[in-house]
Amino acid sequence: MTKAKPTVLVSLLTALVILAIFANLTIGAYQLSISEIFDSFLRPENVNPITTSIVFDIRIPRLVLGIAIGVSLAGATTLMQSSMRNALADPALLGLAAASALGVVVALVLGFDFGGIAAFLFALVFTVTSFLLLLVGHFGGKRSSASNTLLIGVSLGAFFLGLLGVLATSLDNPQLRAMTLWSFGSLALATQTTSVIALVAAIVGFTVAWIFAPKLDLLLLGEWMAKTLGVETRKLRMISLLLISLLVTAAVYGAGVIAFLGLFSVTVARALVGPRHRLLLVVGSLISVLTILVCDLLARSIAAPVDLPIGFLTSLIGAPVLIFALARSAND
Amino acid sequence: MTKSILMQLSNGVITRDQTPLISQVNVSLEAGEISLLTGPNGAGKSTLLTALAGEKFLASGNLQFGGVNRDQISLKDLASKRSLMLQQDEAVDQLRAKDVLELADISPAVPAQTREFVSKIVDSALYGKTLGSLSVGQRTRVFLAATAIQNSGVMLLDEPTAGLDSEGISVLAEFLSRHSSAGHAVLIATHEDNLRTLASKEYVVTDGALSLKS
Repeated sequence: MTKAKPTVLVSLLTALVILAIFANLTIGAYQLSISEIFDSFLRPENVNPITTSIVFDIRIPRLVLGIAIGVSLAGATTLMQSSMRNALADPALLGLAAASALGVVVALVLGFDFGGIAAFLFALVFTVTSFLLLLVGHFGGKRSSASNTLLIGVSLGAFFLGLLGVLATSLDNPQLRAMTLWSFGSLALATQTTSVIALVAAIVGFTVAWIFAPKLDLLLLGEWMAKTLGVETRKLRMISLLLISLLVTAAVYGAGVIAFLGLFSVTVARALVGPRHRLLLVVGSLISVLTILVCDLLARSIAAPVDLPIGFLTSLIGAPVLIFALARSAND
Repeated sequence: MTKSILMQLSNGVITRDQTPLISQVNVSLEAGEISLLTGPNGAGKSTLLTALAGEKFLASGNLQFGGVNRDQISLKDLASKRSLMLQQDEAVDQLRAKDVLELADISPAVPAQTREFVSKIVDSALYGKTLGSLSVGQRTRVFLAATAIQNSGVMLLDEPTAGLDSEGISVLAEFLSRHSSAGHAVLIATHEDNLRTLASKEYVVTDGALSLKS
């Protein structure tokens, strides 16, 4: 396969992401011009307070949350695929996102606020636990195969969603409404708090992944060769596990389970730039951010003023990609 | 150069899946020396090579690199003491030959003759290809080059001529003899006779025991 030239590709994607950012800030139920956006930042006294409120309470948090989720899901998927040596691994597909979601609901049932730091921490603990269960199934079984792991992941996910459904019945009405929207994956619940927490987690996760990327590359040579080249593979896998959990939590806690976004972007990025981690992380994140911003724009405009859960749209794009990838890997 | 022992295993017991495979293993590899490891299929040659690399399968015995016990050497430092090429690599198919060579290039000073070998065994046509598109022989070439570029004291090679054409075998033979003369040790597990002339020692695995044939 011919590989795209990385610098050209990264510049092109960055330009598209910037374009998408402006589109997402200006287009909506309440149309804003680019100068109004700039004025809200630079000369807030000249701007209508409604505009400022829309920019800072709705559009910016939603945009920031979208970017954080895009980066987190691409990062988590990249790390999952390389540490499990399975090009079809995806946090939603393998039940991790459902575990995060369950963590948030448990926090709500215990009386914590939606979108607060407690919800984030609950989600993180549940994700780590579920990932450990998945890895026991993946590496602990007599025979570890990609399809076995996929089945274990899907079962775990279904179990968590079932549990989540049962627990959700004890929530009161407004919470339940938020939950419903959230369980399909939606950026509509973005607040300044959720977007900042998700962004910080995404940046931390991405940076640490970037630092460890050269070692993760060595893991691509196989466990054995990585070891003979001096990599503490077990330690690296543990770091990878924690990073994946952090990134999945960052993605799920603010906007719920957005299916297939990670799988879609990383599959496309891998086909474009190959498996080396640094480039894959960057290109995968850019594609993922671009996709989520475009999907969110569509989610807000297709049936306006109804705000469609973005998870619907990512599933519509992602599921065919997964089927295509499966069909291709079956031919290998 | 005075002869020095780069790797030594004494009274080793090699086990796999909790079953003893070879006992009474005494191996000593000296700088400037090429040794062969022979024996029937399934005798445990690959397992023995893996055990000598110092990570797995060694139930008991004293493994030393340059007189220092394995336990006292970090995994990172061990990378400069020995390299291991197994018959079957587990590398991801989307990696290019170029990627494999870049990743294995961890030594601060790779000698010019090693670089020359690498560019001969992995020529420019092969360099940009992905592993998934390679033949068995081409894949062997890539991992031979990667093992060489690691530039460690001891090279442990498992059937390094698998799938290689005669040109490849002669390039490898020439490199191994110059490499060992430059003070490295090489241990080759093989069924083929084409590298035999290079070796000064032969270890034979038979019926769960290792013997030395000079």
